Order: sequence, then structure tokens, then C-alpha cells
Amino acid sequence: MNRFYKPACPDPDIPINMLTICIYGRILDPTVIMNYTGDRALGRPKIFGFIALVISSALAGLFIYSVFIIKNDYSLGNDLTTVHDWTFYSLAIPIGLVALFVAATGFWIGWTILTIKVVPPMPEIVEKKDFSKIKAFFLCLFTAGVAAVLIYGLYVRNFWALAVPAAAISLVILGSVFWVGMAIITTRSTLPKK
Amino acid sequence: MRICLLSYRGNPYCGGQGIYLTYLAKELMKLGHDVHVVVGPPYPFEIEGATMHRISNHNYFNNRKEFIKPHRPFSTFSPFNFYEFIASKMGIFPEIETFSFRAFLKLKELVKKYDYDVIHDNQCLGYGFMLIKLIGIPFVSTIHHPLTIDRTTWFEYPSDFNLKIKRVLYYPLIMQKFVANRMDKIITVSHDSAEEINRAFGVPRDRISVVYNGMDSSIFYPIRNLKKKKNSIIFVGNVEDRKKGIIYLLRAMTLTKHRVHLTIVDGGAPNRNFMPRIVDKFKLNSQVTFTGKISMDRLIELYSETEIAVSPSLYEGFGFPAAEAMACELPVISSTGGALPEVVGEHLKTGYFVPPRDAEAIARGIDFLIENPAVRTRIGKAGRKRILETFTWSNAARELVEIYEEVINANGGSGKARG
Repeated sequence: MNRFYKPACPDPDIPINMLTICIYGRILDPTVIMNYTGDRALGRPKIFGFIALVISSALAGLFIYSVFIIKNDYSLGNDLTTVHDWTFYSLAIPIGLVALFVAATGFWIGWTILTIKVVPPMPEIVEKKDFSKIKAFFLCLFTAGVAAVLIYGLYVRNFWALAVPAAAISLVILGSVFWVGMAIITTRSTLPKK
Repeated sequence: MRICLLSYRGNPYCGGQGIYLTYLAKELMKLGHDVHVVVGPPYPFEIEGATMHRISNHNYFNNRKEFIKPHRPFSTFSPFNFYEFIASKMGIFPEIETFSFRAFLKLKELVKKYDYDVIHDNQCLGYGFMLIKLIGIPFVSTIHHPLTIDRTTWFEYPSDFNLKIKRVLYYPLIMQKFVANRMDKIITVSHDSAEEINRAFGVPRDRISVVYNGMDSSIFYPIRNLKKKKNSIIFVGNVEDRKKGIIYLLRAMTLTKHRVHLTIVDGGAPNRNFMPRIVDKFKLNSQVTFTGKISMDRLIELYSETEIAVSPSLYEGFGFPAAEAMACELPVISSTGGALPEVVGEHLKTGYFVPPRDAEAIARGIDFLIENPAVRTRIGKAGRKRILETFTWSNAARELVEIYEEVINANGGSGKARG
């Protein structure tokens, strides 16, 4: 039997219990998954799959509750310190995690360049002095500083600690859409004859 | 047995992966197995008897300008394409990762129609493989060599900071390490490569099996009636791939007693940039010919017209060019980098070894072989014999089937039995 089947949800033929989850009209029943692999027990990856499913659903629910259902005073002039803790952290955590991921990637790049051990290049082909290690050191320093400032900013609920990363993420996405749009406008609209 | 081979690139003219895929598919079918190939572009030629399932992509990484398809202008906004587009613009090479997710979606459809006994990946190791594992079919992967080698050798050459950033971002090492440790079995093509995979990715040695690549002796053979060009040497490989070490060969050419002429067959280098500058710097313009992309027939002719082949690689997971030259009865001056000693064999018997990164030793080797035609002939003949006896695709396929059976048994029987 296929693991995914798509009856109307809820389906009277399928016992709805705590482990039966309905997503987009598809019922994902763990007992079916267990049977699918015959005599083998539910594998470890599948357990992680269920944990991921439950946690992500719970977090999505918590996010919607914190941002849209908890009552806050959004009147003009209110700062971030007056919004409910859950509302603030529901926005700050995802934005902060993305920003920290970018900073960590920058740090990792710098660290890799700084610490990689290689045979020095053949002297005959070296044209100019290489300052990569020094630049890599400053990249590590800069990204670590940015991360520290960001964490502190979020801790004290500074507006810019949310606004700057949110703007950067939005601009990257919007910039990409703009780029693709420009490419569509400037691309030849008919297929070449050959 | 019904085998599904996965390869994010499949064309045999685009490198070792395509060669591996094409020959294995053919040999597995000769052994009576049903072979399906799930492959990304550039696609392989039709493999007679194999069922091909193509997975397309827009190749944003290499297609910097004309990436909009006139017949589907908004396809860039589909989730995988858009991720690929943004990642490519940031210097990340996303093709491997997106192939793994696309392959999962394709396999999810295919398993409704076909009972695969085993899935065999060809050096992709994307995060999407974790989803493929959930399908429950034994899943193995071939790693020709860990990409840590490519990154390290790249850093041996002078480059600026921006280029180094791009190189760090380019290689998906964290992902491949994560996925490699979760495959049912890792297959590799040499013992040296197995050690490197263990060192770089931390995959336990007992989970890595070595199956040597083969060499098609019906394609690579010496053409007897062609006259050898005096003092001619040949290098086959991507000159922009830093680990091929051609720069040490060029330096060696400035040190030889005899004036030699080098033919460089670099069909795999779409953007030849670095090496012509080095040729210029060493003042070797009159002694070096770049052939560009050539047909297989022309390559065999070139091998047969040349006196010596040189494989100065800093590292090779296997070393197809050295094996091809040996199959054509050419004496090979080979570095001891990576798996080359396993392939080339013994010094002065089946090849001539030099340490990697040693231009003086390469120069001595060239002079020695030019001055000793009898040794050249003897090494050439012994080299061909070694290749024909040791490296055949039929052996490779047979050994792979044994590994498939072992993995299937460890997973509780075949897909059909589980059904």
C-alpha cells in the first residue's frame, strides 16, 4: 500500500488517534508507514521524521498564536519593550536564527581560509603577496562582532536588531525577484529558428 | 535484481562520473540485472536496455546570463529553481543538493511502478537522500574521492581573497559528510580514496568498500600503423582543475635536456583561463598545443602518435587518463599522488613514478624515457597488460553486485521480498 493516501479528512474509515495527522487533505498514518516496510520495525529516521513533524506543527501553531492572537498595543509610538514576550520572540527567534546563520557562515569561511594547511604555491607563479589570511582574520572578527551585537540587541529588544536582519533578508529575496524579472523582460520572447 | 543508479551528471564527456555511470549500467545489464538510471544534465547518451529517467535543472551556476527559458519564463520562481538561483548568485554550487531533492520526488513516483532492490548514487550525497532513505530501499553511494582534496589543492595556487571565499562556499563538504555517514554503504574506487574518505568524512573504514574502476580495452588500444612523433608527450585532463598538477609538468618542460612538445587534451575545461597564462610565463608557447574537445577516435590516435604520457596529479581518486594511456601502450610518468600507484603499478615495470609537486623529477623522467626507447616499449607493453588484467568493468560490476546483495541482506531482504 502506498504510504500517502488521500481520502477526505476526517475519513470515518480511518481511526483518528493522536498519531494520525491530517495535512493538506492527506492522512499520514504511522501504522501504515510501519506496515509498508513489512516485517521491519519503524526505523530511527522515521522516528526523527515524526518528531520533526510534531515540533514544526507545534512551533507553527505557537507562532500564529503569539503574533496574531495574543493581544498587544500596536498604537503609534509603542516600542518593542511593550509587546508581549511571546510576540516579540516569535519574530525575533526566526529572524535572529537566519541572521546568526549568515554570520556563522561568514565566520566559518574566514576560519577555513585562516586555518587551512596547504603546500605553499610554486614561487615561479606567485605574482603578488597574498593577504588572504589577514583578511580572513578580520572577517572572523567582524562576523563574531556582528553576531554578538545582534544577540545583545535582541536581548534588550532593540528595534534595529530586528529591522536590519529583516531588511537584509527581504532585500535579498526582493532583489532576486527583481533580477529574474529583469531577465524575463530582456529575454528574447520567441525561440530561435534553429 | 532491479537496480536504480542515480547520477546528478551523466555525460561521459564531462568527467569520471559519466564514464562510471555508462559502463556500470552496461555491465550490470550484461549480468542480467534490470537497470534504471535517474540522471541530471548533461545527460548520458542512450544506454541500450537501461530505462532512463531524466531530471532537468536550469544550471544557474554556469548559465549566468541566458537562464530564462522563453517557453517557460516564470519557471525560475518554482521553489527549487529559485533556491538554486539565489544560491548560485552567492557562489554556492546548489546542483548537488537540489538534484537530491528532485531525485526523491522522482523516486517517490517510480517506486509506485517499480520494485527497486537497491539504489546506487554516484557521488551526489545531498540532503534529499535522507528522504530517499525513508522509502526503505537499501541505498549505497560511490564517492570517487572526497571534495576536501579539491578544496585543499585549490588553495595551493595563488588566488585573491574573494576567489578563496568562493572556493570555500563552492564545495558542499558539510552536507556530503553528513549524508555519507548515513548511507548503507560507501563504495569507492581505490584504497587510497577509502582512507581519504575515512579521514575527511569520518566514515568508518569497515563501511567503505573498494571496487576498482574498469577500462574499456575495446576503445583504448594502440594503433600500430601510426608513427610516433619524436620527443612528444601528452597530458589529458582539465587544466583548470588545480589537483591535476599540470603546472609542475610545464615547469618540468623548462628543465628537460631534450626539447619536448606537449599536447594537452583538455576537453573538460570550458573556461580555460589560468593555464594559458602559465604557458606564456614559462615561455612554452611553441612547445604546447591545446586540442580542446576532441572525439574519442582522435584521442586514441593522439595516444598512439605520442611517446610518453604524463600524469602529474597532486591527487587522483583513480586516474582514468593514466589508465587510458597505459591501455594504449604508452609509458606513463605518474606522480604518487592518491590512487595513481594502485593504478599504474610498479616503478620502471609498468610506469615511471615521481613524487607529486616535483618538477625536477618529472624532467628527469622525461629525459630518461626519451633516451631509452627500449624501456619505453617495455613499460608500455607491461602497462597495457596490467590494465587489461586488473581493471575491467565486468569485474567492477560483479563486485558491486556482491556489495548490493550484502546491503540488501543487512536490510532484511530485497524490495520485492519486503513488498
